[in-house]
Amino acid sequence: MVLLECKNLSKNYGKKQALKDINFTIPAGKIIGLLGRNGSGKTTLIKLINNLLTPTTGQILIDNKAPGPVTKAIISYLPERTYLDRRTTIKKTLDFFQDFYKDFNKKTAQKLLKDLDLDEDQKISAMSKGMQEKLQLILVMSRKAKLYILDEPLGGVDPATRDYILDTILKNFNPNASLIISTHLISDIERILDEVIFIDKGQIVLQSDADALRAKYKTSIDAIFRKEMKC
Amino acid sequence: MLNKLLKYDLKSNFKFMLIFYALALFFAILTKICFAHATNLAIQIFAYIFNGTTIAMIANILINNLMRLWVYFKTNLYADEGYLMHTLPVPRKNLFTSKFLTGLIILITSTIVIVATTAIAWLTPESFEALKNFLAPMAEILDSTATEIIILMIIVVFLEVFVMLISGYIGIILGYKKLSNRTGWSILFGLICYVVIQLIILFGVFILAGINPKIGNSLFSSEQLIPDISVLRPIYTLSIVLYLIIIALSFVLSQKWFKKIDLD
Repeated sequence: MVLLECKNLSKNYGKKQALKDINFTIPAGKIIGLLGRNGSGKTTLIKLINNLLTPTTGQILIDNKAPGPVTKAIISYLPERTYLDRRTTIKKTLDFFQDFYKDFNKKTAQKLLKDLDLDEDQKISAMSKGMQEKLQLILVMSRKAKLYILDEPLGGVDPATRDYILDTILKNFNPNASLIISTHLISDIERILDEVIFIDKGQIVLQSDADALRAKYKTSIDAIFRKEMKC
Repeated sequence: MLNKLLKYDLKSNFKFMLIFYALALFFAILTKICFAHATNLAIQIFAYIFNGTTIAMIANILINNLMRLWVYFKTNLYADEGYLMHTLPVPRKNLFTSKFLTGLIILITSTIVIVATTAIAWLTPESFEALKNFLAPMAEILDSTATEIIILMIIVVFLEVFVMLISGYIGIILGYKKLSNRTGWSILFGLICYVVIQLIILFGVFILAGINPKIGNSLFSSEQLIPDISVLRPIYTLSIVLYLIIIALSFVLSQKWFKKIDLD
């Protein structure tokens, strides 16, 4: 079953073309690595899927529907920036998520917060950027969504935190759902990937099953990426 | 979902505004008490200090309201928080409607607080009588009462401030359609929008002056230097009707323009 489909998708910023004629499908129940160098178009593609950008041409279908309130209800999205209301507390943020997302499990979130020794009455503005990112991850992974989209969840965090993030993702990931992870830190996530999509200069240069790719090149995805994307 | 968004938006804004409302009312009460018991110079000095502070608080509510609502609109929908708001499973038009209603409710509340502050600080039976006497000739010409004239003025000023708010919202929506210098474009589009609305109102008065010679003579004739007060009623009425039409139109257009966004 196809969960996400992009047809002839392009995005221009003025004269600059950020994405060129993107075509791909994503099936249900897979973990997909969206891999590319900085500025390759990963975030633009993710923002288009989440309806945060308007495509110049082409079409996106999520569960056979165009992006809108219905598709947003089934996508759990972690952006590459901190997006929470800094004036409020963790507790109120949990209530906010429970108010708006039917699939949000508050108990799961509270349990994960407890593991991190985070006090629910703490103000978000009093938390470090790293802790805010962990809180966002907890919120996103506490939903039973059909599609999880994590944009650079490992960017700028120490190796110990990377392990925590990956563990949190894997422990809380709905097995019937699909998960797209965008990153350039391939070696850290390679072990969990089912499929990979290489994106470069706004174009998809490769989409393949992760194991098939490793078998074909007899090396790791990281090594293949380094070879294919060499400057 | 609109009621949830509205609840969230109102909480976020009122949390700060309530402090200013409380301070304005508090200083109004102090002003009243001090002026009522100004039996010596020390209390008189305090009375004038509190009097000035109350005036500052009223100005603060007006300015703070607009600034805060514009900044909130921008940060909540176009900055980092926009990533959360625009990925909520709600129709995008509801995001704008919630902000529009929040602005309306906050401005109504602020108007009530400003009127209450003014009444507490300065309204006495004597001052009320003086105001009535001042407005009496105007009320007689307009075949109205002093209270009606005051209410009419408050309504026009309220609509004027609300139009300022909406112009700012439209400016932000259009400014953020540009690829660079979005804040600059937002301010420019907001100003243009406000000027265009004022020109529409003026154009409406011109048309009215063309239809009603009394208004035409009063406003545009060089022979009649002292304006005829009786023309105020149709001008006020026309302004209110035009403001309401413009606000409704701005709401519909803003929702249309807000459908497509490109977040940074």
